[in-house]
Amino acid sequence: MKRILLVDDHRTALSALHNLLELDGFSVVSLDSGTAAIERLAVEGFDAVVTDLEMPGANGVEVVRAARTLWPEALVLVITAFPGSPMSSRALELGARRIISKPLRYEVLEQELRERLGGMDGSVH
Amino acid sequence: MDAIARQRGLEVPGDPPDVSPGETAPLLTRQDRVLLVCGAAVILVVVLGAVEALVIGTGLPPESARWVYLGRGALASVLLGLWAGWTVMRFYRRLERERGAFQEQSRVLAERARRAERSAGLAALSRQLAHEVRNPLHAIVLHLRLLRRQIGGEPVEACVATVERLEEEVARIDRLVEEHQRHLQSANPRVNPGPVDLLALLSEESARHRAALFRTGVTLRSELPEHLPRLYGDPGLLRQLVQQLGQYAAENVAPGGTVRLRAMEEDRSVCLELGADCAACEETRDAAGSVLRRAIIRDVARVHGGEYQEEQEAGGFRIRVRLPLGDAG
Repeated sequence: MKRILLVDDHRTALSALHNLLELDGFSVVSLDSGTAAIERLAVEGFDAVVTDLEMPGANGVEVVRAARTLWPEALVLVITAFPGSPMSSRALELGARRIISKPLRYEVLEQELRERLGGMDGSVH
Repeated sequence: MDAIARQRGLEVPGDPPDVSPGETAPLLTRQDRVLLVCGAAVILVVVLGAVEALVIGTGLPPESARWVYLGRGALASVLLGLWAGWTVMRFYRRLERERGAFQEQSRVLAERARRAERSAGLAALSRQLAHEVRNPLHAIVLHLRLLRRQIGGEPVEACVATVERLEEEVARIDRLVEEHQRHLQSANPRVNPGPVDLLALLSEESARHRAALFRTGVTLRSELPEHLPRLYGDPGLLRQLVQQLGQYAAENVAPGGTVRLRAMEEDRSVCLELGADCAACEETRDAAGSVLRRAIIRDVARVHGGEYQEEQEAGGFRIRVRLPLGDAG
Protein backbone atom coordinates (compact mmCIF):
# COMPACT_ATOMS: atom_id res chain seq x y z
CA MET A 1 0.00 0.00 0.00
CA LYS A 2 1.44 3.39 -0.98
CA ARG A 3 2.12 5.69 1.96
CA ILE A 4 1.18 9.34 1.82
CA LEU A 5 2.07 12.15 4.20
CA LEU A 6 -0.68 14.74 4.25
CA VAL A 7 0.06 18.21 5.72
CA ASP A 8 -2.51 20.99 6.21
CA ASP A 9 -3.17 23.32 9.15
CA HIS A 10 -6.88 23.36 8.31
CA ARG A 11 -7.94 20.28 10.26
CA THR A 12 -11.42 19.93 8.78
CA ALA A 13 -10.04 19.71 5.26
CA LEU A 14 -7.22 17.48 6.46
CA SER A 15 -9.60 14.92 7.96
CA ALA A 16 -11.79 14.82 4.84
CA LEU A 17 -8.84 14.34 2.51
CA HIS A 18 -7.39 11.73 4.86
CA ASN A 19 -10.64 9.72 4.72
CA LEU A 20 -10.95 10.03 0.95
CA LEU A 21 -7.41 8.83 0.31
CA GLU A 22 -7.85 5.93 2.72
CA LEU A 23 -11.07 4.95 0.94
CA ASP A 24 -9.02 4.90 -2.27
CA GLY A 25 -6.55 2.46 -0.76
CA PHE A 26 -3.69 4.69 0.35
CA SER A 27 -2.05 4.54 3.74
CA VAL A 28 -2.23 8.08 5.05
CA VAL A 29 -0.45 9.94 7.84
CA SER A 30 -2.01 13.38 8.51
CA LEU A 31 -0.21 16.19 10.29
CA ASP A 32 -1.54 19.70 10.93
CA SER A 33 1.74 21.61 10.94
CA GLY A 34 4.80 21.94 8.75
CA THR A 35 7.08 21.60 11.74
CA ALA A 36 5.58 18.24 12.70
CA ALA A 37 5.82 17.08 9.08
CA ILE A 38 9.53 17.94 8.85
CA GLU A 39 10.18 16.12 12.12
CA ARG A 40 8.31 13.08 10.79
CA LEU A 41 10.18 13.17 7.47
CA ALA A 42 13.46 13.12 9.36
CA VAL A 43 12.67 9.66 10.67
CA GLU A 44 10.31 8.15 8.12
CA GLY A 45 9.94 8.07 4.35
CA PHE A 46 6.74 8.28 2.30
CA ASP A 47 5.88 7.53 -1.30
CA ALA A 48 4.18 10.90 -1.62
CA VAL A 49 3.96 14.11 0.35
CA VAL A 50 0.89 16.30 -0.17
CA THR A 51 1.23 19.62 1.59
CA ASP A 52 -0.53 22.94 2.00
CA LEU A 53 1.66 26.00 1.46
CA GLU A 54 0.54 28.74 3.84
CA MET A 55 0.85 27.42 7.38
CA PRO A 56 1.98 28.98 10.63
CA GLY A 57 5.47 27.97 11.70
CA ALA A 58 7.27 25.95 9.04
CA ASN A 59 5.38 26.55 5.79
CA GLY A 60 4.82 24.26 2.81
CA VAL A 61 8.00 25.39 1.06
CA GLU A 62 10.04 24.12 3.99
CA VAL A 63 8.13 20.83 3.91
CA VAL A 64 8.88 20.49 0.17
CA ARG A 65 12.56 21.23 0.79
CA ALA A 66 12.76 18.66 3.60
CA ALA A 67 10.93 16.01 1.56
CA ARG A 68 13.09 16.51 -1.53
CA THR A 69 16.30 16.60 0.48
CA LEU A 70 15.61 13.61 2.71
CA TRP A 71 13.59 11.47 0.29
CA PRO A 72 14.42 12.52 -3.30
CA GLU A 73 12.32 9.74 -4.82
CA ALA A 74 9.16 10.86 -3.05
CA LEU A 75 6.42 12.49 -5.09
CA VAL A 76 5.72 15.97 -3.70
CA LEU A 77 2.45 17.72 -4.46
CA VAL A 78 1.39 21.13 -3.20
CA ILE A 79 -2.15 22.32 -2.55
CA THR A 80 -2.61 26.07 -2.23
CA ALA A 81 -5.19 28.85 -2.47
CA PHE A 82 -2.68 30.91 -4.51
CA PRO A 83 -1.17 28.77 -7.28
CA GLY A 84 0.59 31.74 -8.91
CA SER A 85 2.22 33.08 -5.77
CA PRO A 86 6.00 33.37 -5.25
CA MET A 87 5.74 30.62 -2.64
CA SER A 88 4.25 28.27 -5.26
CA SER A 89 7.08 29.10 -7.67
CA ARG A 90 9.61 28.43 -4.95
CA ALA A 91 7.99 25.07 -4.18
CA LEU A 92 8.27 24.09 -7.87
CA GLU A 93 11.92 25.20 -7.94
CA LEU A 94 12.60 22.97 -4.95
CA GLY A 95 11.15 19.96 -6.72
CA ALA A 96 7.40 19.89 -6.10
CA ARG A 97 5.85 17.87 -8.94
CA ARG A 98 2.69 19.92 -9.24
CA ILE A 99 0.78 22.83 -7.70
CA ILE A 100 -2.91 22.06 -7.23
CA SER A 101 -5.28 24.92 -6.44
CA LYS A 102 -7.85 25.12 -3.65
CA PRO A 103 -10.71 24.28 -3.54
CA LEU A 104 -9.35 20.90 -4.55
CA ARG A 105 -10.92 18.78 -7.26
CA TYR A 106 -10.25 15.41 -5.74
CA GLU A 107 -10.09 13.66 -9.13
CA VAL A 108 -7.04 15.77 -10.01
CA LEU A 109 -5.16 14.66 -6.91
CA GLU A 110 -6.27 11.05 -7.20
CA GLN A 111 -5.23 10.85 -10.87
CA GLU A 112 -1.86 12.44 -10.14
CA LEU A 113 -1.18 10.00 -7.33
CA ARG A 114 -2.23 6.96 -9.38
CA GLU A 115 -0.20 8.02 -12.41
CA ARG A 116 2.97 8.82 -10.47
CA LEU A 117 2.82 6.11 -7.86
CA GLY A 118 1.54 3.36 -10.09
CA GLY A 119 -0.23 0.41 -8.42
CA MET A 120 -1.32 0.29 -4.84
CA ASP A 121 0.92 -2.64 -3.97
CA GLY A 122 4.17 -2.31 -2.13
CA SER A 123 5.97 0.73 -0.88
CA VAL A 124 8.98 2.53 -2.32
CA HIS A 125 10.56 2.98 1.07
CA MET B 1 -14.65 64.22 11.73
CA ASP B 2 -14.75 67.29 9.47
CA ALA B 3 -16.58 69.17 12.20
CA ILE B 4 -13.95 68.14 14.75
CA ALA B 5 -11.19 69.24 12.42
CA ARG B 6 -12.86 72.63 11.89
CA GLN B 7 -13.35 73.08 15.63
CA ARG B 8 -9.66 72.43 16.10
CA GLY B 9 -8.85 75.06 13.47
CA LEU B 10 -7.55 72.49 10.98
CA GLU B 11 -8.03 72.79 7.24
CA VAL B 12 -10.71 70.49 5.83
CA PRO B 13 -10.23 69.43 2.19
CA GLY B 14 -12.99 70.80 -0.05
CA ASP B 15 -13.74 73.81 2.11
CA PRO B 16 -13.74 77.21 0.34
CA PRO B 17 -10.78 79.53 1.02
CA ASP B 18 -11.02 81.57 4.22
CA VAL B 19 -12.21 85.06 3.09
CA SER B 20 -13.68 87.44 5.65
CA PRO B 21 -17.08 88.85 4.65
CA GLY B 22 -17.09 92.50 3.62
CA GLU B 23 -13.39 92.52 2.75
CA THR B 24 -12.80 93.77 -0.82
CA ALA B 25 -9.69 93.70 -2.98
CA PRO B 26 -7.81 97.09 -3.20
CA LEU B 27 -7.96 99.02 -6.48
CA LEU B 28 -4.18 99.12 -6.78
CA THR B 29 -1.87 96.46 -5.44
CA ARG B 30 1.33 97.39 -3.65
CA GLN B 31 3.26 96.43 -6.77
CA ASP B 32 1.12 98.76 -8.92
CA ARG B 33 1.75 101.60 -6.50
CA VAL B 34 5.53 101.04 -6.56
CA LEU B 35 5.47 101.01 -10.35
CA LEU B 36 3.50 104.26 -10.42
CA VAL B 37 5.95 105.98 -8.06
CA CYS B 38 8.92 104.75 -10.09
CA GLY B 39 7.33 105.96 -13.31
CA ALA B 40 6.64 109.39 -11.80
CA ALA B 41 10.24 109.59 -10.55
CA VAL B 42 11.64 108.77 -13.98
CA ILE B 43 9.47 111.47 -15.53
CA LEU B 44 10.66 113.91 -12.89
CA VAL B 45 14.33 113.06 -13.57
CA VAL B 46 13.78 113.64 -17.27
CA VAL B 47 12.03 116.95 -16.55
CA LEU B 48 14.89 118.02 -14.26
CA GLY B 49 17.39 117.11 -16.99
CA ALA B 50 15.48 119.38 -19.35
CA VAL B 51 15.49 122.18 -16.74
CA GLU B 52 19.25 121.72 -16.28
CA ALA B 53 19.78 121.99 -20.02
CA LEU B 54 17.60 125.11 -20.01
CA VAL B 55 19.60 126.62 -17.12
CA ILE B 56 22.94 125.96 -18.87
CA GLY B 57 21.56 127.16 -22.17
CA THR B 58 20.13 130.44 -20.78
CA GLY B 59 23.22 131.23 -18.61
CA LEU B 60 21.47 131.49 -15.23
CA PRO B 61 23.68 131.83 -12.07
CA PRO B 62 25.65 128.64 -11.06
CA GLU B 63 23.72 128.44 -7.68
CA SER B 64 20.55 127.65 -9.60
CA ALA B 65 22.31 124.87 -11.49
CA ARG B 66 23.66 123.41 -8.17
CA TRP B 67 20.13 123.09 -6.75
CA VAL B 68 19.05 121.37 -9.94
CA TYR B 69 22.00 118.94 -9.64
CA LEU B 70 21.22 118.20 -5.98
CA GLY B 71 17.53 117.66 -6.69
CA ARG B 72 18.27 115.35 -9.55
CA GLY B 73 20.82 113.36 -7.49
CA ALA B 74 18.38 112.97 -4.59
CA LEU B 75 15.64 111.89 -6.91
CA ALA B 76 17.94 109.38 -8.61
CA SER B 77 18.88 107.93 -5.18
CA VAL B 78 15.21 107.60 -4.22
CA LEU B 79 14.53 106.00 -7.60
CA LEU B 80 17.39 103.55 -7.11
CA GLY B 81 16.16 102.71 -3.61
CA LEU B 82 12.63 102.14 -4.86
CA TRP B 83 13.88 99.96 -7.67
CA ALA B 84 15.97 97.89 -5.25
CA GLY B 85 13.03 97.58 -2.85
CA TRP B 86 10.68 96.63 -5.63
CA THR B 87 13.13 93.97 -6.87
CA VAL B 88 13.55 92.51 -3.38
CA MET B 89 9.79 92.54 -2.87
CA ARG B 90 9.24 90.83 -6.22
CA PHE B 91 11.81 88.18 -5.29
CA TYR B 92 10.18 87.69 -1.89
CA ARG B 93 6.74 87.32 -3.49
CA ARG B 94 8.11 84.75 -5.89
CA LEU B 95 9.58 82.79 -2.98
CA GLU B 96 6.22 82.98 -1.21
CA ARG B 97 4.46 81.67 -4.32
CA GLU B 98 6.95 78.83 -4.64
CA ARG B 99 6.62 77.99 -0.98
CA GLY B 100 2.83 77.85 -1.38
CA ALA B 101 3.17 75.62 -4.45
CA PHE B 102 5.62 73.40 -2.59
CA GLN B 103 3.24 73.10 0.36
CA GLU B 104 0.38 72.22 -1.97
CA GLN B 105 2.54 69.67 -3.73
CA SER B 106 3.55 68.18 -0.37
CA ARG B 107 -0.10 67.96 0.65
CA VAL B 108 -1.02 66.24 -2.64
CA LEU B 109 1.88 63.81 -2.29
CA ALA B 110 0.98 63.05 1.31
CA GLU B 111 -2.61 62.39 0.25
CA ARG B 112 -1.39 60.11 -2.56
CA ALA B 113 0.87 58.27 -0.13
CA ARG B 114 -2.04 57.83 2.28
CA ARG B 115 -4.24 56.47 -0.53
CA ALA B 116 -1.46 54.17 -1.76
CA GLU B 117 -0.97 52.87 1.77
CA ARG B 118 -4.71 52.32 2.10
CA SER B 119 -4.86 50.51 -1.29
CA ALA B 120 -1.94 48.32 -0.30
CA GLY B 121 -3.68 47.53 2.98
CA LEU B 122 -6.91 46.66 1.18
CA ALA B 123 -5.04 44.49 -1.32
CA ALA B 124 -3.35 42.59 1.49
CA LEU B 125 -6.68 42.30 3.27
CA SER B 126 -8.44 41.01 0.14
CA ARG B 127 -5.69 38.45 -0.34
CA GLN B 128 -6.09 37.33 3.24
CA LEU B 129 -9.86 37.13 2.80
CA ALA B 130 -9.47 35.04 -0.36
CA HIS B 131 -7.23 32.67 1.55
CA GLU B 132 -9.62 32.48 4.47
CA VAL B 133 -12.60 31.82 2.20
CA ARG B 134 -10.87 29.24 0.04
CA ASN B 135 -9.86 27.14 3.04
CA PRO B 136 -13.43 26.41 4.18
CA LEU B 137 -14.50 26.00 0.54
CA HIS B 138 -11.71 23.46 0.16
CA ALA B 139 -12.99 21.62 3.23
CA ILE B 140 -16.59 21.75 1.98
CA VAL B 141 -15.67 20.33 -1.40
CA LEU B 142 -13.73 17.49 0.20
CA HIS B 143 -16.51 16.69 2.68
CA LEU B 144 -19.08 16.71 -0.11
CA ARG B 145 -16.93 14.23 -1.94
CA LEU B 146 -16.69 12.15 1.22
CA LEU B 147 -20.42 12.40 1.77
CA ARG B 148 -21.06 11.11 -1.71
CA ARG B 149 -18.99 8.04 -0.84
CA GLN B 150 -20.58 7.62 2.59
CA ILE B 151 -24.13 7.73 1.31
CA GLY B 152 -23.38 4.48 -0.47
CA GLY B 153 -22.57 2.36 2.57
CA GLU B 154 -21.67 4.32 5.70
CA PRO B 155 -24.06 4.48 8.69
CA VAL B 156 -26.36 7.47 8.96
CA GLU B 157 -24.40 8.89 11.90
CA ALA B 158 -21.29 9.30 9.75
CA CYS B 159 -23.31 11.13 7.10
CA VAL B 160 -24.84 13.43 9.75
CA ALA B 161 -21.37 14.24 11.15
CA THR B 162 -20.17 15.17 7.68
CA VAL B 163 -23.19 17.39 7.11
CA GLU B 164 -22.56 19.12 10.45
CA ARG B 165 -19.00 19.88 9.38
CA LEU B 166 -20.31 21.28 6.14
CA GLU B 167 -22.69 23.53 8.06
CA GLU B 168 -19.84 24.75 10.27
CA GLU B 169 -17.74 25.64 7.27
CA VAL B 170 -20.60 27.48 5.58
CA ALA B 171 -21.17 29.45 8.80
CA ARG B 172 -17.47 30.27 8.84
CA ILE B 173 -17.64 31.71 5.33
CA ASP B 174 -20.74 33.66 6.29
CA ARG B 175 -18.94 35.18 9.29
CA LEU B 176 -15.99 36.12 7.10
CA VAL B 177 -18.17 37.85 4.54
CA GLU B 178 -20.06 39.67 7.28
CA GLU B 179 -16.83 40.87 8.87
CA HIS B 180 -15.53 41.95 5.49
CA GLN B 181 -18.66 43.99 4.82
CA ARG B 182 -18.42 45.54 8.26
CA HIS B 183 -14.83 46.41 7.60
CA LEU B 184 -15.64 48.03 4.25
CA GLN B 185 -18.26 50.14 6.01
CA SER B 186 -15.83 51.21 8.69
CA ALA B 187 -13.10 51.90 6.12
CA ASN B 188 -15.10 54.94 4.96
CA PRO B 189 -17.52 55.40 7.80
CA ARG B 190 -20.13 58.08 8.13
CA VAL B 191 -19.11 59.74 11.32
CA ASN B 192 -21.73 61.33 13.54
CA PRO B 193 -19.67 62.77 16.34
CA GLY B 194 -20.94 63.68 19.76
CA PRO B 195 -19.92 63.39 23.40
CA VAL B 196 -19.36 59.76 24.38
CA ASP B 197 -19.19 58.35 27.89
CA LEU B 198 -16.49 55.81 27.11
CA LEU B 199 -16.31 54.56 30.70
CA ALA B 200 -20.00 53.59 30.67
CA LEU B 201 -19.59 52.00 27.25
CA LEU B 202 -16.56 50.00 28.39
CA SER B 203 -18.31 48.87 31.59
CA GLU B 204 -21.36 47.72 29.66
CA GLU B 205 -19.44 45.88 26.96
CA SER B 206 -16.90 44.29 29.29
CA ALA B 207 -19.75 42.88 31.43
CA ARG B 208 -21.26 41.36 28.30
CA HIS B 209 -17.98 39.95 27.03
CA ARG B 210 -16.92 38.72 30.49
CA ALA B 211 -19.90 36.36 30.53
CA ALA B 212 -19.28 35.19 26.96
CA LEU B 213 -15.57 34.63 27.58
CA PHE B 214 -16.26 32.82 30.86
CA ARG B 215 -18.31 30.26 28.96
CA THR B 216 -15.24 29.47 26.83
CA GLY B 217 -12.93 29.16 29.85
CA VAL B 218 -11.30 32.58 29.44
CA THR B 219 -11.10 35.11 32.27
CA LEU B 220 -11.62 38.80 31.53
CA ARG B 221 -10.10 41.30 33.96
CA SER B 222 -11.16 44.86 33.29
CA GLU B 223 -9.07 47.54 34.95
CA LEU B 224 -11.15 50.66 34.46
CA PRO B 225 -10.58 53.97 36.29
CA GLU B 226 -13.29 55.58 38.44
CA HIS B 227 -13.46 58.51 36.08
CA LEU B 228 -12.73 59.02 32.41
CA PRO B 229 -13.39 62.29 30.57
CA ARG B 230 -15.97 62.23 27.82
CA LEU B 231 -14.69 61.71 24.30
CA TYR B 232 -15.87 63.64 21.26
CA GLY B 233 -16.47 60.86 18.75
CA ASP B 234 -19.01 58.62 17.08
CA PRO B 235 -20.82 56.54 19.74
CA GLY B 236 -21.73 53.76 17.28
CA LEU B 237 -18.23 53.40 15.89
CA LEU B 238 -16.64 53.51 19.33
CA ARG B 239 -19.00 50.79 20.54
CA GLN B 240 -18.05 48.78 17.46
CA LEU B 241 -14.38 49.24 18.34
CA VAL B 242 -14.90 47.92 21.87
CA GLN B 243 -17.02 45.02 20.59
CA GLN B 244 -14.34 44.08 18.08
CA LEU B 245 -11.76 44.06 20.86
CA GLY B 246 -13.97 41.66 22.81
CA GLN B 247 -14.58 39.44 19.79
CA TYR B 248 -10.88 39.41 19.02
CA ALA B 249 -10.15 38.23 22.56
CA ALA B 250 -12.85 35.54 22.33
CA GLU B 251 -11.40 34.19 19.09
CA ASN B 252 -7.72 34.33 19.93
CA VAL B 253 -7.41 33.28 23.54
CA ALA B 254 -7.58 29.56 24.26
CA PRO B 255 -9.36 28.17 27.34
CA GLY B 256 -7.36 28.84 30.50
CA GLY B 257 -6.12 32.20 29.25
CA THR B 258 -6.63 35.61 30.81
CA VAL B 259 -7.60 38.79 29.01
CA ARG B 260 -6.96 42.24 30.49
CA LEU B 261 -8.87 45.29 29.36
CA ARG B 262 -7.41 48.55 30.64
CA ALA B 263 -8.40 52.17 30.08
CA MET B 264 -6.54 55.28 31.21
CA GLU B 265 -6.35 58.97 30.48
CA GLU B 266 -3.04 60.08 29.01
CA ASP B 267 -2.15 63.51 27.65
CA ARG B 268 -5.61 64.67 26.43
CA SER B 269 -6.31 61.14 25.17
CA VAL B 270 -7.88 57.93 26.37
CA CYS B 271 -5.83 54.76 25.93
CA LEU B 272 -7.48 51.37 25.66
CA GLU B 273 -5.32 48.31 26.05
CA LEU B 274 -6.32 44.73 25.42
CA GLY B 275 -3.74 42.19 26.49
CA ALA B 276 -3.82 38.42 26.69
CA ASP B 277 -1.74 36.27 28.95
CA CYS B 278 -1.77 32.79 27.48
CA ALA B 279 1.09 31.30 29.46
CA ALA B 280 -1.28 28.54 30.52
CA CYS B 281 -2.63 27.99 27.02
CA GLU B 282 -1.25 25.53 24.54
CA GLU B 283 -1.23 28.12 21.80
CA THR B 284 -2.68 31.44 20.84
CA ARG B 285 -4.94 30.92 17.89
CA ASP B 286 -4.97 33.28 14.97
CA ALA B 287 -8.59 32.71 14.12
CA ALA B 288 -10.21 33.42 10.78
CA GLY B 289 -11.54 36.95 10.75
CA SER B 290 -8.94 38.28 13.19
CA VAL B 291 -7.24 40.20 10.41
CA LEU B 292 -10.54 41.90 9.63
CA ARG B 293 -11.20 42.67 13.29
CA ARG B 294 -7.81 44.31 13.67
CA ALA B 295 -8.44 46.31 10.49
CA ILE B 296 -11.80 47.54 11.82
CA ILE B 297 -10.26 48.59 15.15
CA ARG B 298 -7.44 50.37 13.33
CA ASP B 299 -9.84 52.21 11.00
CA VAL B 300 -12.16 53.36 13.79
CA ALA B 301 -9.14 54.67 15.71
CA ARG B 302 -7.89 56.40 12.55
CA VAL B 303 -11.12 58.28 11.80
CA HIS B 304 -11.09 59.56 15.38
CA GLY B 305 -7.58 60.92 14.90
CA GLY B 306 -6.18 58.18 17.13
CA GLU B 307 -3.46 55.57 16.92
CA TYR B 308 -3.38 51.79 16.86
CA GLN B 309 -0.56 49.49 17.95
CA GLU B 310 -0.36 45.74 18.22
CA GLU B 311 2.24 43.33 19.48
CA GLN B 312 2.12 39.60 18.93
CA GLU B 313 4.30 37.50 21.12
CA ALA B 314 4.61 33.88 22.10
CA GLY B 315 1.60 33.01 24.21
CA GLY B 316 -0.11 36.34 23.99
CA PHE B 317 -0.76 39.65 22.31
CA ARG B 318 -1.31 43.30 23.16
CA ILE B 319 -3.49 45.79 21.31
CA ARG B 320 -3.31 49.46 22.27
CA VAL B 321 -5.65 52.14 20.94
CA ARG B 322 -5.19 55.84 21.71
CA LEU B 323 -8.19 58.11 21.15
CA PRO B 324 -7.87 61.90 21.49
CA LEU B 325 -10.50 63.52 23.71
CA GLY B 326 -11.55 66.15 21.17
CA ASP B 327 -13.62 69.04 22.50
CA ALA B 328 -15.93 67.02 24.71
CA GLY B 329 -13.33 66.37 27.38
